[in-house]
Amino acid sequence: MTKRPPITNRVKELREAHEQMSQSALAKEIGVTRQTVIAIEQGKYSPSLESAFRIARVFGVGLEDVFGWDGD
Amino acid sequence: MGFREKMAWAMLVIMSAMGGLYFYWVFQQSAAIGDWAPPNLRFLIGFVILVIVLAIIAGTVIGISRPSEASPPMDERERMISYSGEVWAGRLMTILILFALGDFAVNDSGNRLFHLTFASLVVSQIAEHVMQILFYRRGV
Repeated sequence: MTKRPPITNRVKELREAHEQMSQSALAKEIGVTRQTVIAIEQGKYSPSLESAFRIARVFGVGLEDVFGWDGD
Repeated sequence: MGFREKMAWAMLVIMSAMGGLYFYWVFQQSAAIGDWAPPNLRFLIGFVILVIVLAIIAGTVIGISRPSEASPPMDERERMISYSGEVWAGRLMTILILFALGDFAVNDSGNRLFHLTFASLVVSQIAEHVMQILFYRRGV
């Protein structure tokens, strides 16, 4: 029910490398709430494909530079 | 904690308190007459109106405490949490109503059927908020 998704991400790392972008600013850029950005960074929520692409575009990197697969 | 998670907590408290009060009244009335009390429409309408008023007050207070986050459109995670909570609540309500119908088939008490069905609605609403809070805190 609340099993962690087997998807890793570097959102926090990229956000901090991106001029210490705040969670609120990133949330506004991709059209979600700050709590959702926090949940993504903590690995509690895997974003939709659309939001994943939006995040990658904000940082100017590819999708696989932001997200990784940590399952079987 | 976001606006909707705070609202889920507020609704959990409101529904639990109001449901508890309602069924306390039902049990008191039933004990007084020695059988299941008939449904009281005025009391029931009062219950519904009070829940709505308390929900509006809770929403206003939570919104005032952080106006920037007050009631924005749901994002994808909040929609998923809301939907998942509704699914779990719906499953529970189905089971409870089937139980109420089974009870009616055995005991043939219309008043008891009414109270069990209404309890199913209240309990499933409480379960919906519990599940939403769980999904907010532990992930969905």
